[in-house]
Amino acid sequence: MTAVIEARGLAKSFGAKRALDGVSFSVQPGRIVGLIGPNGAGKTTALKAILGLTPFSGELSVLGLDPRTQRDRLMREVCFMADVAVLPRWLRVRNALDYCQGVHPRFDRSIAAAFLEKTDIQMDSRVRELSKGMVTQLHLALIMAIDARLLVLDEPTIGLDLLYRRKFYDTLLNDYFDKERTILLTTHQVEEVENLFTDIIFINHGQVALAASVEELGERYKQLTTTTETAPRARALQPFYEREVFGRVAMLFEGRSAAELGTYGELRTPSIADLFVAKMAGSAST
Amino acid sequence: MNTVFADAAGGPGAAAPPQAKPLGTTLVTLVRREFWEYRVLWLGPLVAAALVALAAISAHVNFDFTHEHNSKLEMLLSPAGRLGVSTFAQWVLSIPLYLIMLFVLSYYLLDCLSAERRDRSILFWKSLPVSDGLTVASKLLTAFVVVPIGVFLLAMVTYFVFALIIAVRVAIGTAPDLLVFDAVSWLQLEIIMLGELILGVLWYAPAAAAMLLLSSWVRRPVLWATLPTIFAPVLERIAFGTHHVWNFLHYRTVGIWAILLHDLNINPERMQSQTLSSALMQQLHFGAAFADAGLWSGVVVAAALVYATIRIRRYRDET
Repeated sequence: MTAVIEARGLAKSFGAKRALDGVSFSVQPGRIVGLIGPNGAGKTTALKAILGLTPFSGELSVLGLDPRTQRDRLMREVCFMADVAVLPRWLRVRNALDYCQGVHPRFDRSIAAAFLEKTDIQMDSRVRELSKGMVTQLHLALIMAIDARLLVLDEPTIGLDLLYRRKFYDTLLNDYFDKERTILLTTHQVEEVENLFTDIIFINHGQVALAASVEELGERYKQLTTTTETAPRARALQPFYEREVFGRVAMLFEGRSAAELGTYGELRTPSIADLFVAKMAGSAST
Repeated sequence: MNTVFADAAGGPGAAAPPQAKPLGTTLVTLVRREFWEYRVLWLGPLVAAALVALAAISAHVNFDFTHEHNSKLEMLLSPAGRLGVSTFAQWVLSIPLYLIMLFVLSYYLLDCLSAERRDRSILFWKSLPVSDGLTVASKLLTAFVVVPIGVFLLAMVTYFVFALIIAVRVAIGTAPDLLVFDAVSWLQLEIIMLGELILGVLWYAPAAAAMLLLSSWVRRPVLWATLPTIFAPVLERIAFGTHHVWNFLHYRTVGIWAILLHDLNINPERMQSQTLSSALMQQLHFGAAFADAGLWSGVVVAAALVYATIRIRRYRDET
């Protein structure tokens, strides 16, 4: 199947700082991909490149289109929500729906209206009268009503309380996502959404540190929890990260089988958050 | 290239690429959006129109019945004189509306592409399938066509309301019966004013486009539009003792009107034989004004500035 996003050697500098330094990855249809990295790692720059919002060098194809030259066509099939609520404060809820209906060939007003019915948002309210959580809900309502093939979310729930965050991702997963659609999401709060992802891309210092599906992660990475006494023997198998908590040592291994590690302690698949911390600590020291 | 695209668009499970909304629907939506954001676009002229119309309630003509003015008074009250007064009123009452429009549109053009960068809503607008060209086109359509035509029609209505209030006052005896309605005269002046409006839009197009460019480009467009305009002529005068900048600004402000009104000679004495509107029709140099090279070179400059504006909005990344 044709990749939804195919990126090869993306590069972009802001002065001396290399925001993207030869980034390559591909995103397959029907996946939920987490683009994860610390602040300033290049996540947002990568998303902007994909959305044709910033110039860059390298090869990039999104839904078979070049975002640099075919942005207008691309946006008919791509939906995008930026990190904070960017809906203008003067906009009325009703007019937001009018507007999307007037310009978007794939906007279904009834879906947005039905979604808003379930919230406290009034059609006559202006965005400035809504709470931050409600603005995000409104934006989500607009996005859900657009039949897009690719949805790009850049820190969509930043600054929201837990209830709104949970509701946001539940709605996204239950009411929006299907096998025809692809979601690319950046976030800081890895722990909270890690069950959402089918694929992850770690990005740091403008480079891809790791790109794999969640199934591949389970095969490639193992977390061993062992005692301080057994630790030196396990260390011989070259964990790429370890930390000690309450006299227990947690080690992360790449490419070791369960048979090799099993004798030293408990084994499990590391969480994405653990892997992220390990990978970022590793790349920070190099 | 072709095969790659065909594959992506028509691959298994993929729906046909959606057609864009009809251009008309999109443009109407975009222009409506401008009026949602800038209510002053319609509120400003409307308030001005209401004030002008209401002025009819307190409008006051002082008659001086001393004998040296009697001949003038007689002339004023003659059928030809009343028609002249009516035509004059029709013209003069539209001026406050156009002045307000000038201020409102200047503010609008300087702010419209700057506001979306300030509040970062540009990221929302850009998340929808509306090209930068179409966005800028909608702002031009608003400022160059929709608002001017709206104000033109509003001025027409304002005059009728004004005349109606005066008629009521005449009926109850609190105003002299000075206004008459003559369809030909009225239509002639409306055509003249429409011609002037079109001429004005074309003449001020480069200034308007420059404001739009500043709006998309700098952080404080109002400052950038006003300070250099005020200080450049002064500095040139002090530094070089010349006034090219001043001459240029003066030319781009009134140049076209100098051509249009060249040798205009309206003599009230002749009003008995020719109406004011016919005299204007005859004497205004619309042909020369519309054929003026300065007018059209300005339009070309405006087009270049608009193109630059679209490029800046398309490729600028500061959010």
